[in-house]
Amino acid sequence: MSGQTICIVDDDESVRESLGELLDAAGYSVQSFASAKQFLAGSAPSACSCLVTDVRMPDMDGIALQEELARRKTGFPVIVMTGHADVPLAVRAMRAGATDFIEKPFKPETLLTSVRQALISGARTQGPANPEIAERLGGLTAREREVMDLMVHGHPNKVIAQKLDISFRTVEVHRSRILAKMGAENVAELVRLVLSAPQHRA
Amino acid sequence: MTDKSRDLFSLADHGALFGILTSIAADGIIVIDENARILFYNDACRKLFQYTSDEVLSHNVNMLMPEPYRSEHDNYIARYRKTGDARIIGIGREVRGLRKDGSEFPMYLSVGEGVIADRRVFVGIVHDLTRIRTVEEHRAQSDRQLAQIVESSDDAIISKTLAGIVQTWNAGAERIFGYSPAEMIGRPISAIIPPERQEEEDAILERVRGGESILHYETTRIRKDGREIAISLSVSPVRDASGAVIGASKISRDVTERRRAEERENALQAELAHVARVSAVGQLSSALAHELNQPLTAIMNYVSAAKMRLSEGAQGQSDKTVTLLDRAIGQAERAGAIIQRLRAFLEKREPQRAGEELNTVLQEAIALGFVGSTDEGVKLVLDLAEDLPRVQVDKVQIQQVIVNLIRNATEAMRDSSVRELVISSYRAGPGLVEIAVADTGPGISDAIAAQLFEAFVTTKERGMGVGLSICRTIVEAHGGRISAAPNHPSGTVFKIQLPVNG
Repeated sequence: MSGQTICIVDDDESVRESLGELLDAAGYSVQSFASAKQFLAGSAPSACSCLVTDVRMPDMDGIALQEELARRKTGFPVIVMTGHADVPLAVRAMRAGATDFIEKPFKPETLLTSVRQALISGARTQGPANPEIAERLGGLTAREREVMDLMVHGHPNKVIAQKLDISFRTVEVHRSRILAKMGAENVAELVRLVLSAPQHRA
Repeated sequence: MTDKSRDLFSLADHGALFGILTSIAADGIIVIDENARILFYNDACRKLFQYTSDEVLSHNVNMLMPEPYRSEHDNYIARYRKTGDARIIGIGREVRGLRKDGSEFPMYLSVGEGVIADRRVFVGIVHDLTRIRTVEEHRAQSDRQLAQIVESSDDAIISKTLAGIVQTWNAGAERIFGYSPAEMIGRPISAIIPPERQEEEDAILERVRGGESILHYETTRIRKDGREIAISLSVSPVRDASGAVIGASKISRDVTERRRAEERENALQAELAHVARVSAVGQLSSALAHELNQPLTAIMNYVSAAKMRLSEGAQGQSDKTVTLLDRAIGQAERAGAIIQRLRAFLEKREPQRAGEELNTVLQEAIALGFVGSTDEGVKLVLDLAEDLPRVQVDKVQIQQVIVNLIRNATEAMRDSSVRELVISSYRAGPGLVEIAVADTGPGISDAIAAQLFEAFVTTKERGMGVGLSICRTIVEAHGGRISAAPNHPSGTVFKIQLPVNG
């Protein structure tokens, strides 16, 4: 574990600092940055084993940071945090290659586990493809599958209702059934699960 | 004597003098004999009765009288000749005359008797009362009209002496105060004045005594049934012919209903303002959740880190652990403060004003209104003047206005390349302070600007268009003004001007 540097990018000082303390206590060496630009400006990207970044930040947001890292071909895993239950954002982050997408407030153990897994599996694999996921996906009806596809593409219920020409209420029913069948607590987790299934890796 | 006798008219002159007197007299002069036949009829009579002398001479004078005088006149003279019972002779009285055209007129008739050449004659002098009667009738009619107006007024119209004794009491007064005129006239006005306002009445009377009028003074009075009512009072001095103040006239209007309506309106406005705050927070909810998530995340991180340190049990770790826990506490306090601010903002409450530090009010409002805006790339610039006087405001309502303006500004800047919000406070003149909220958004079109603060005017797809109209209501209730002007080079500046003493 030692020798691995975790970089943190978050504009909120308390989150940045406390996360540093958490990772420090867990035995990682930590480098913290208040903005994506600061992080990119220094030598940190070359020494980084794993990046934990907030998604919404002034100047340059987490997605733009991911895109820049992809352009630089840095290769280290990126864990994205968000304070907003913002599905479109989660989808964009995952599609931009995030290893994990964590909603604030998160259990510290969740983050540590995520970091641990990210370090083990590295950037490329983006977590093990779970054979169970394919099975769970098979359990969805055709209509549920349609609704889910729209959900993980970040469409809100209202838009899904319009696109499929069904009522808002029906979308809500499908939505809760999909989450139950997929074993996901929320849409962010659903996105993570679905994107980890091989056929969804674009 | 010789000197004097030269000045006096001689007997021979008397005939000429008589001619002059009777022809220039404005009053009619008629001489009749014992049988009431007209012997003399002067020029003035011709104008009064329309008959010429030729038409009346030797005729019975009763031709100049309407009934019942005409029939009674002969009897009257006969009775007088028999009994000496004078009804008019030497007394004079008001009777009616009859003109040639059959019309009548009021006249004052003085009658005297005398003897000329052994013949008893009666002399009547006729004074026309038409003009006086017309004026009097006019006056009486206008008095009646005024009385009717006073009587039919919905307002209480009362007159009283300077000692406060009621002299007149109209139907409106009876309706408003419940006392009949019989119960009040001649009695002290104090019956309708609450004991604690007795001094106020004395002060009003004192001003009236000095010739002053008091207009639309709002106060309370007590009805006969003990109910307190709100009235608007106007009091004016009543003067006698010499101009001296002898009393006061009071017009009171029952404004209880209006007062209640105002209270209802105030309550409605407070309710509406509250609904607007709830809705503002609703729109802020995701930003607020984010704002709370930050300290909660930090707390959990700190506490977990502390726990890990403790379980390691390593030497020299306790200081570090204490630091971590202190920080956790700090973050818990931060979360608590957000909740507290939110609760104060959302509280359903009576409007209440107190002397507030404008900058503190501003900063708290910014903490609420600017939530999440940094994440959206909005830069906040504060330019707050120091040593501003305290302002008498309802803090929550003024914060509501500022939160509203900040939210509007950040929304307006969403698609702008430069996103800068400048909030400033400064003195705007004697007894005035001003807050300015300037954005770098696209600005406001002229069409919208004209009706910017009207209700239900909006540029937002989902907006109700009540935000700025509520802002205006709040600011104006504080005696202030809210305005919008273009910012340079682009955007809008909203200004809230407030009087220091509300």
